[in-house]
Amino acid sequence: MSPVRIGVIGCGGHATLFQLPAVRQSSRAALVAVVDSDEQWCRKVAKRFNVPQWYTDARALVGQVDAAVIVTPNFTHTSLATMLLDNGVHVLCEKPVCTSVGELDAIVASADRSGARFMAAHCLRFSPNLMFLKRIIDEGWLGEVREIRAAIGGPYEQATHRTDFRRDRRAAGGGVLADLGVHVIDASLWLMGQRPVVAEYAAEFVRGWDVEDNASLVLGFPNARAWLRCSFTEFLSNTLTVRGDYGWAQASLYAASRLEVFNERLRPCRSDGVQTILCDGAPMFAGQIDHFCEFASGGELRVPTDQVRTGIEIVQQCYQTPLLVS
Amino acid sequence: MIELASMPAKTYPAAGSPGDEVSTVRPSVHTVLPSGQPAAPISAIWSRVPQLAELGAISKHALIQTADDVGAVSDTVRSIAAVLSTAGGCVEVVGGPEAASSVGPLRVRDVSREEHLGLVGLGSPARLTVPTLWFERVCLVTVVGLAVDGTRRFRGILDAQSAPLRRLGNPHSREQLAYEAHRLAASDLCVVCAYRDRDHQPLWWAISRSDVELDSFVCRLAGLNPAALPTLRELIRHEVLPEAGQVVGPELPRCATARIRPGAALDALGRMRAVARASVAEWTVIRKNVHRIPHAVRRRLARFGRS
Repeated sequence: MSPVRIGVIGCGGHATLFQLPAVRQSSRAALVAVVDSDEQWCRKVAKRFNVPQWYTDARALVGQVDAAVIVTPNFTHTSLATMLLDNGVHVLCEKPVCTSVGELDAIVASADRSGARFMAAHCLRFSPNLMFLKRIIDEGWLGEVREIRAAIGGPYEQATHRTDFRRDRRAAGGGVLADLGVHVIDASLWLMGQRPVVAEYAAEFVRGWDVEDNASLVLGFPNARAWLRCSFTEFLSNTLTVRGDYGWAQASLYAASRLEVFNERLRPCRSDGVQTILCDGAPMFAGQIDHFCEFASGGELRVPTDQVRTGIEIVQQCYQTPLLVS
Repeated sequence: MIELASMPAKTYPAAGSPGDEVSTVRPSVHTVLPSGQPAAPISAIWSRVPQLAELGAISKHALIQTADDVGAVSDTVRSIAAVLSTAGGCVEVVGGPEAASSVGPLRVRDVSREEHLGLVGLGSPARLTVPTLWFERVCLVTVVGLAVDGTRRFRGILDAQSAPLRRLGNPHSREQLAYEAHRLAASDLCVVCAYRDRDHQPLWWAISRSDVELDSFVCRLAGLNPAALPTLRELIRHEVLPEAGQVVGPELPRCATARIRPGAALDALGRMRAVARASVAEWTVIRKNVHRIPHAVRRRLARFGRS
């Protein structure tokens, strides 16, 4: 099978640190073009990643690539995705895919019209430890899941970023909840496989930005609850813990190969307590690109659009909720 | 499936009279060959083993692992399987492809062909690959053979339990793997089947819930200090051995104390390789940090000068 020709749109911190190296390493993808509005920077990135073509306008990719990865500021996602999909280019779009359900519907309609395929980049679904966690939940190792606790975030200044669009409500479409919170919201939806209701939402505007920089959220599932926290101001644990009837499992969101498990019914835990499982598999961004190439070639999608829609609805609903803390 | 909550506490028969059933303070010992009479069927023995009946009653899925394919051991495996499956449970054998021919109709699970997991080992920092079946809710029975009058040194339950880890190609020493297997997947029931080396006729069975107790027991029967068994010597680094009680049991001539030990050289080689690997790992760490020593000395001298 010939590799999928991919163009990456947006050459900021996230693209240069994660997406471009992942596309470069993938045996299923061929990185053929990069796009960035900053011409000088774009040329520099193309040289660094040995990419044959670079453009300052995403429309130039049409006809040149089979698929595109959108890694631009959030407010550009919908227009770029619909333009590319209308022209038959498969799209992998960074989260948050868009800021409203209406925008997502427009993207899906474009994909349906042209037959091109659309996938939201929820990278945690491709993290080896979370994939294993999903498997053991499905196999009933933990019994019925009763609780999920996840925390993601660290000081904004310490994260690599080329632009400051995340502080701007218009450009980002929201604050830390829309940017980092969607990761743990999507992970909860994926692990539980059920539609939740928003039970509580609270946010803080510690630095006086246009958007919230700390947020906490409680999702209510039929038999479980998910307590989710995200922050641009403090180091959180960056872990996701699932508790079931018989035990618990904790996955690091960044050290993607380790999963701590305790279940009184599992022989190794019964005799020796908490076990640290070392999970094999490709790093999450590489796994995501491999899956996207497979999906673009006609394979099944592991990020269902209805769950992406539910995630957007949850964020929208939170932003419409009167804040408990401000 | 084993319901752990309903698992009865460990009980052992009290010291009994010698004869066709010899009880000890810890593992129970059973024989079907009383004083030179013709052999009774092996299955007759299991009705006298309460631990097995309890397992059969509460377990719907049992795995029997064995490292031996001698006739007496295979017969033991088959007869235990028959007892465990009478309650409608599923019984499988854990072993290599060679086990398939010796255990008859029982399904053999070869761990090297099944899924496995990486775990952080305790006895050794290296990654430990373990079979996923250890995480299944099953009852685990380990059966080992003990050649009496033979020249083979007794390896024991601890060693047999670690056979899946060796099959998965873990680079640790045999003793380290025995400890890891004991730590992570100690058997629910351990059976030592002693057999006559010249005709492979079964002589007696020692049965216990504890792998360590049973290995210690056999060592003491042979007049050895349990710490002489390499696997128990490794275990002592992490755990305290059970107290030595009065050991009553059949004689165990020249078995565990045999001087000729085929495979001993290989064991020694394995230990040397493990030491070499550990040395290389330590040397790497030392090399990474050695350049810091002069700076550290200088800093301390400066602090000393200031004070």
